[in-house]
Amino acid sequence: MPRILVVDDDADIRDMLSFKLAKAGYEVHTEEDGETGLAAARELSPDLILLDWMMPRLTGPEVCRELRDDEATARVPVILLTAKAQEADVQRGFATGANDYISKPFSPRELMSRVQALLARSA
Amino acid sequence: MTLASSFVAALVAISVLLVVLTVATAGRKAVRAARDRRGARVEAAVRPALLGYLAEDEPDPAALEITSRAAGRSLEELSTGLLTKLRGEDRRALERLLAAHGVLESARERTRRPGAVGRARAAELLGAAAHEPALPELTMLLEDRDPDVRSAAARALGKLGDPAAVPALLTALEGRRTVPAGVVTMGLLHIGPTAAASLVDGLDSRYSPAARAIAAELLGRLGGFQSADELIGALRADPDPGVRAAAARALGRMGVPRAVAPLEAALIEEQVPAVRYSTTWALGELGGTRGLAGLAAALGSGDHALARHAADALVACGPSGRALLERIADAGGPGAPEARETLGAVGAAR
Repeated sequence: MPRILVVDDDADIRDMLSFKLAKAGYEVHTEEDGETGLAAARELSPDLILLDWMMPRLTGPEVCRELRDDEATARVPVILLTAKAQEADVQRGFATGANDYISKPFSPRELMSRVQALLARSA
Repeated sequence: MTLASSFVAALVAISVLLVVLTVATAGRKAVRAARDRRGARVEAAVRPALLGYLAEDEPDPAALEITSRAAGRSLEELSTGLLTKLRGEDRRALERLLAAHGVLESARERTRRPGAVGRARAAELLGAAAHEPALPELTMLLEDRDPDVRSAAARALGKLGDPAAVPALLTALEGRRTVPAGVVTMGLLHIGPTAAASLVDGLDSRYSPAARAIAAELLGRLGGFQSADELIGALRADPDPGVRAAAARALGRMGVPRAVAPLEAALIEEQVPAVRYSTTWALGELGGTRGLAGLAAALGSGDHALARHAADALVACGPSGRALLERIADAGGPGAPEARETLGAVGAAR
């Protein structure tokens, strides 16, 4: 069962994704800020991380950069989830090493498709 | 009654009053705490049911049971938050759920009830759900006696995305019960490009100067070329300088080539400095060589502030504007100090 880590400070989004991912058969773990999210990523070795951009303590791009600098987590697929939808923001998101990008408000169904595709590619 | 006994009686009365007030305050706190606990219990039951519903591939609204008014309120509060975060089929599933349980109809009814908080929340939900049938109720709330309700209604009308709301939003800027200009502007921006035709109508003199200025400004962002003639007309003839300045900025932002001549004419004929500054900015935004003659004239006008704006606009025109600015700076005639000042600032910024 693939393990997915959801890091978002918005409880609605965390819970909604937890329900949706669990229903689809994934093992889900959630964290509500960048610092605990980074620690969880190192401890749990997830198969994929869904990462919010704007979070307390460490932002999504900062977490992403830390993950890529660490040999143990460098290859974990990351999807950035954010309300920042300008072209420059998307470029910045990818520049930190994110594999995909979803802008809020978002479609959970579309996100599920991207999760499946990314997991299939990284398998 | 002696003075001493009167004093004792007053002391007793005050003590009794204090005790009554303390008991009443404690009672109110206890009632509120109990209500909060009950609300938290209801939400703890409704939340997983709602998220479970949204997790289904083909969710059935009838499968989610709402058995009490408190559960209905909880569903409404949770949904108002979720609607703003969702798009696509999951959002439509949530809208179907709210419609099936009568939550949206109930919100429409609540827009007419006493209690400003309830009316504002109803407006917020109807906007978040983009519930188009609520257009009349939300339009009515723009004249609500409570300012927060009026603002909530303006935001909700924007989220509805129906251009039919444009005249009411523009009218809400004037009169006894107004909506702040920033809230109206955001509402109109939310409606998007479909608002353009009604915004052109907003340039008409039956609207207030504030409404006409906002209409002009937003046409620059939403309108496209079809509103250029009306904006040129506003630049030439609107009696309010704020509207003329907004029309100039809109023409510049839209990049309408046929606006060059009217903008250059405004630089010469316009008496209000703020309009002339907006006009130079617009000519700079149009770019290329089209407005260079007008900007060069403004640079050499002898009006230091106007010359500074013209020099900035020449830089914005691109290489041809910058080359002209350098020639004027080198020539040492009128406008040369401002040209050198701007070129120095641009060089330092690099």
